[in-house]
Amino acid sequence: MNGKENININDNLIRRALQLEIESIEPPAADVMWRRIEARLGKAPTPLKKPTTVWLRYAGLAAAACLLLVFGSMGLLQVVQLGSPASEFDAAAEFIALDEEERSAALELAESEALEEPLAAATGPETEPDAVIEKQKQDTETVTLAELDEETAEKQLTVAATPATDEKAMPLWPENIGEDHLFSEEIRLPLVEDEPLKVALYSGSEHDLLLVSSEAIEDDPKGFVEKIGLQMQFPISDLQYIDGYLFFVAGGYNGLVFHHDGKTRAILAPLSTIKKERLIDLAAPFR
Amino acid sequence: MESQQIATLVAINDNESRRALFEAYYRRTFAVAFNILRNRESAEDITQDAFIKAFQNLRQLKDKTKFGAWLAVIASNLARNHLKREKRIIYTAELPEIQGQTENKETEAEALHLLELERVRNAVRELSPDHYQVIVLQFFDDLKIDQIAELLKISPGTVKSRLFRARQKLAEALELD
Repeated sequence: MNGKENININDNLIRRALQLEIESIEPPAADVMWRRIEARLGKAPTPLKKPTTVWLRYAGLAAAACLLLVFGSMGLLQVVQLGSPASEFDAAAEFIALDEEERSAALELAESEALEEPLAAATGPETEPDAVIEKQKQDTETVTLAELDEETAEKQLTVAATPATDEKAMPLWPENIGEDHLFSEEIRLPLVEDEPLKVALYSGSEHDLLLVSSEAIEDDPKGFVEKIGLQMQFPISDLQYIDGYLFFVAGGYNGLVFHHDGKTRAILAPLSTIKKERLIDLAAPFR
Repeated sequence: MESQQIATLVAINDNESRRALFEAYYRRTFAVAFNILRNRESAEDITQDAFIKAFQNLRQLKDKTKFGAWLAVIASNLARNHLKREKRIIYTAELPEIQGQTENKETEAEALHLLELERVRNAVRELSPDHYQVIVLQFFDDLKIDQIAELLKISPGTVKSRLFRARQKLAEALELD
């Protein structure tokens, strides 16, 4: 038996061994797995024990739906609040913070007291700092979504990504990242409500990108990355500084952090094995 | 499933064709992931992620008849990345029972063949993810070196090197060298 024959024997053995190995492993029920895949590929996000970026694609729509649900019921409140525009802002901003039970109570209270004291049910002390009032005004620009139908609401999410009259007051998403990735939609990550993040989805021909933005420059970029991991439920690893960028791996996907326009931002390439060099190229114009 | 049928399903890429592709490949995809991870739960997650990633990126698949091999690469890459993230390899008691033991053997040659087969199967399980990947693509998907290189985005030389080392390890198990 010469060497060539040995190789042939090995080929057959290897082929047969692989076949037996694959056949011997009993997979989970196909139906269950397919339903999960279908749900993640389909129209509505489904609760997953390990959310992935597929979920993110639909998070914008889900956010719009949630806003409609929450603020749709606010129509009543707005109808009875006949005060100044500022009072509407205040009421809406306060309303956002309420949970379901409190919301119902607030609605009842607002309906009963609205004609006498429109602000009493929903606002805090009249001497609120200007900054708080300003923030409430910003929030209320989103509240107007309540009056829109679903299709318009979806468009409004995109419109919200363009600069408002006060450029500092709204997240300023660039129209594109690189030549290939165009702004698609703004996404709010609601997984951990006290750590909100603003995220925009950029669609490209090869892959999509997420641009995450803080409200201001973060003193602790690593903490910012941890926050991203927390919101996306992605394990963060391999944090390292290269060329002035903070690189990280979230759920196995590369990302980098940089400062831009008074904000700390992160580019993440979900579902893609995009290289660090490519991420630097994409982030470079912003620095 | 015939190559042309696979290509047609890939081209259509609607829910029904995806379901057909899933049913045709989920078993082997799970097996590939499981062979690398040795953990059913992780293998299930990876299989699911692999199909989603594949369906979302079908347009990137140049040769539509190679969907199975492409899916195997996606699954094995995801599994390998998962291992890197976990920084550990879990060998559990979930190993399937070796089939084809020496019972019912009719001849000594057959018994020897079954013994060799068992050794190769054990050796396959010991392969690194990189080596397992190329072995699957060459011996299960019957791909050529160039095709493997294109799918894995590595040079043909690297493919040959990995195949050589993988075969070397399998040969050691058989004590043929």
